[in-house]
Amino acid sequence: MEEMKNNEHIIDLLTAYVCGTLSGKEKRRLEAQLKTDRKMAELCELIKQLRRAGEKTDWTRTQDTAAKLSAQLFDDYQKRKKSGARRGVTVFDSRILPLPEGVRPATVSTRRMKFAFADLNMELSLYPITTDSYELIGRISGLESYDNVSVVIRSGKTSFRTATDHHGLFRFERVPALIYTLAIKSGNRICGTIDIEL
Amino acid sequence: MGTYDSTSLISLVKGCREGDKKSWEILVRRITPLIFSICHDVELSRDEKYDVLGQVLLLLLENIDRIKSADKLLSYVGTMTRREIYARHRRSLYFRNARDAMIEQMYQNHSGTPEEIYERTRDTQGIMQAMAQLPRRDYELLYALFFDSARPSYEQISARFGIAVPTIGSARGRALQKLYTIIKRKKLFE
Repeated sequence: MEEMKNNEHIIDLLTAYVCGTLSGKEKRRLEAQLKTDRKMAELCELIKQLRRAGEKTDWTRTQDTAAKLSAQLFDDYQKRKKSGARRGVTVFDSRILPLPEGVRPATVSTRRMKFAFADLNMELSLYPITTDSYELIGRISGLESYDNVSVVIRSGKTSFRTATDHHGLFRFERVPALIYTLAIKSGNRICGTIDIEL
Repeated sequence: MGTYDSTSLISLVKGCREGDKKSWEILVRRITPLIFSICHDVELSRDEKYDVLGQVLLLLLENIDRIKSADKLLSYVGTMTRREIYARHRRSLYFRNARDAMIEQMYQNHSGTPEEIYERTRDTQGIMQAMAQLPRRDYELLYALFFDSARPSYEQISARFGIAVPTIGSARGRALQKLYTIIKRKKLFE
């Protein structure tokens, strides 16, 4: 019990030393001890490393954002396991990211998303035109040829279709904000599908 | 879903393999700091870091059946993160042209020699790898003490973990001892 209390006191001292709040006689005494006590010096270095790692970023916001992104990714992946490899997985969605410091929501309007399919990838940028419609600009990568490749987005009876250019780029000028199923087609063959909410 | 010790990394991997979302959430929480520490060290932008995170998490899910040990998991995550970063740089249209200017700027903006910079980055990744291997309780306690940007007080930690305030010091000591043992055993700083 006495040893545990002693260890706690040492860790408190080392933490204060690493934080720069230890001064005077106590600091000098500790520094002398650190020169001769190897284990204490290693513990001090460990606490220093932990503090340094902890201060590198706002870990709370990072973890919260990672949790949201990974939850979406996991759900999409489970759907792919059930439906087949052509089902896409969301690997990035800027809507989930926290706003940068000092930036008001109104100044951030573009949303960027990235999806992974079995053999191809797609990036999508959404530009709000009105409060309930968007311009979509996207790029498909990973196909051998972009001849006769099209993208169809469908929500109930509402659907839009556009062809890609030879770089895999495509654009929907104006689509209403709905939940769509997006399908990438090469000729009549469906290469990939994903659900997206605008 | 079956019963298993939810605190160890490999039991979390098992849970993910079985489609358990809670295991996935806990596993992601453990490995995110390792992925981000690697991304920090190459100065990716905020969006790029999350992009790399998404790619690495998908690769992990797709290959989860091949992960048989905690060491292999962390090694895989570290390797895939670095590969995604390198692949990103290679794909960048401007990287080749700006490479020399960027390298010069990197050295101007960093304090220390390349060896010192390497030591600092390696140590952070070593800490994150070791942290990820702690039992859950110890991980969460050290996370609250060193990583939680809300800087919870001992009273808040007591409420969160259901432990008395006077015992937090000794719990902290035990967690640090376990972390120290992992680092020494794995030679993460050598």
